[in-house]
Amino acid sequence: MPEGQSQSFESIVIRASKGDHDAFQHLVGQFQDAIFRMVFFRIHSEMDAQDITQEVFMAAVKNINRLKSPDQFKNWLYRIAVNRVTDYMRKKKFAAIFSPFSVSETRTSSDDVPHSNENQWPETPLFKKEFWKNVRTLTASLSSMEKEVFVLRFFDQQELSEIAAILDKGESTVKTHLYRAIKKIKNNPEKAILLEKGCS
Amino acid sequence: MKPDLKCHLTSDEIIAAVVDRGDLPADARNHLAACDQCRKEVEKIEAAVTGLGETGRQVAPELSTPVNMPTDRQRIRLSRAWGLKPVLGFGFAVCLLVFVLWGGRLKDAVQQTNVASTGSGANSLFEEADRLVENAMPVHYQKIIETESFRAGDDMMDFIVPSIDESYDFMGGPGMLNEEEISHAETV
Repeated sequence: MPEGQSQSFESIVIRASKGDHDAFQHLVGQFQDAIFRMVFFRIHSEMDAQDITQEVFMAAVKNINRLKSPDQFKNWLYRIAVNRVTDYMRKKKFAAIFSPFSVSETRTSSDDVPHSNENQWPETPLFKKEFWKNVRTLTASLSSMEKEVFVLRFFDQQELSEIAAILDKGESTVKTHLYRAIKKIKNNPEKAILLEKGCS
Repeated sequence: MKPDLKCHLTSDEIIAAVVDRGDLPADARNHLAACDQCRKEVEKIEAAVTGLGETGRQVAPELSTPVNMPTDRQRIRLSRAWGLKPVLGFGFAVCLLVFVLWGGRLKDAVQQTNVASTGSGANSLFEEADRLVENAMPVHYQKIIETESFRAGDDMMDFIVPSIDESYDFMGGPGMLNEEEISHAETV
């Protein structure tokens, strides 16, 4: 980010932290799509991703006055989102104990539209459904931290230093998790083929 | 130093290069820079994982409803409501205290009622037992016997339940004539 833009961004964050509604609205406009996608990559449900995105910004507006470094706003926002997703997953798991069908009944974005017989890249619902199913298969054997680092690096396109800041870990720890994640996928022949095909 | 092009990177070094090339040892980094085979191997994995993310971003849905933030006025209202927290907390504490005190009294009253009802039940049981010891006949039959019409006289009772010192007997008891007495009476 150029120096001028950076200063401008930081001043917006400072204004937002002092209760400037317009400044915060500006930040919402800048990050809402990225946060929504980030949440969707983890839960694969459009409806729930919308709700969680809303919750993330509500939590942010409530606590922005506690943010010490304005330049860390993005990482801080991502950390809120990661925590919200973790909460969501925990609740879903808890609900699944009492309702064994609730997990399979979760609506994914590809279920929201009727299936067609076409299977051409990348717009058809069937392609999307298969893709996310394959991504789930690919990351199924990864630990929660390995999965988080993998998705942050390759889906959310975050730098290693940013991932370290988001997860509040050291950069070397992040590298270790990423290394293990890639190794697990590459050493599994079935998953290696999926990866080569791009999960399509 | 010229890199050794015959000694290719191991599988682990290739993955480490995908994570961060800067972390590779200097000789491995030099080899990677010079060796097409190893470089292609690293680029193949990089392309696969990067392509996976790209496809994910393409097939992910768009945010259909923009995030709706509360206006300043709504925030003020919320913060005012939040400011009432101590008052609400105090009110709740008072309610809880009243409930605990009254709840204790109520519990005692319920226990006393239970004891009383248990005592009265035991009394009625003992009364019933005494009645059965005195007269085991069911009350219904006792009522029938007590009625005037059913009261039989002593004769009737003697007929039904003869006394052992009765003077006559249908089957040759002390009050009956024997065969000799009968023949004597006929001749007389």
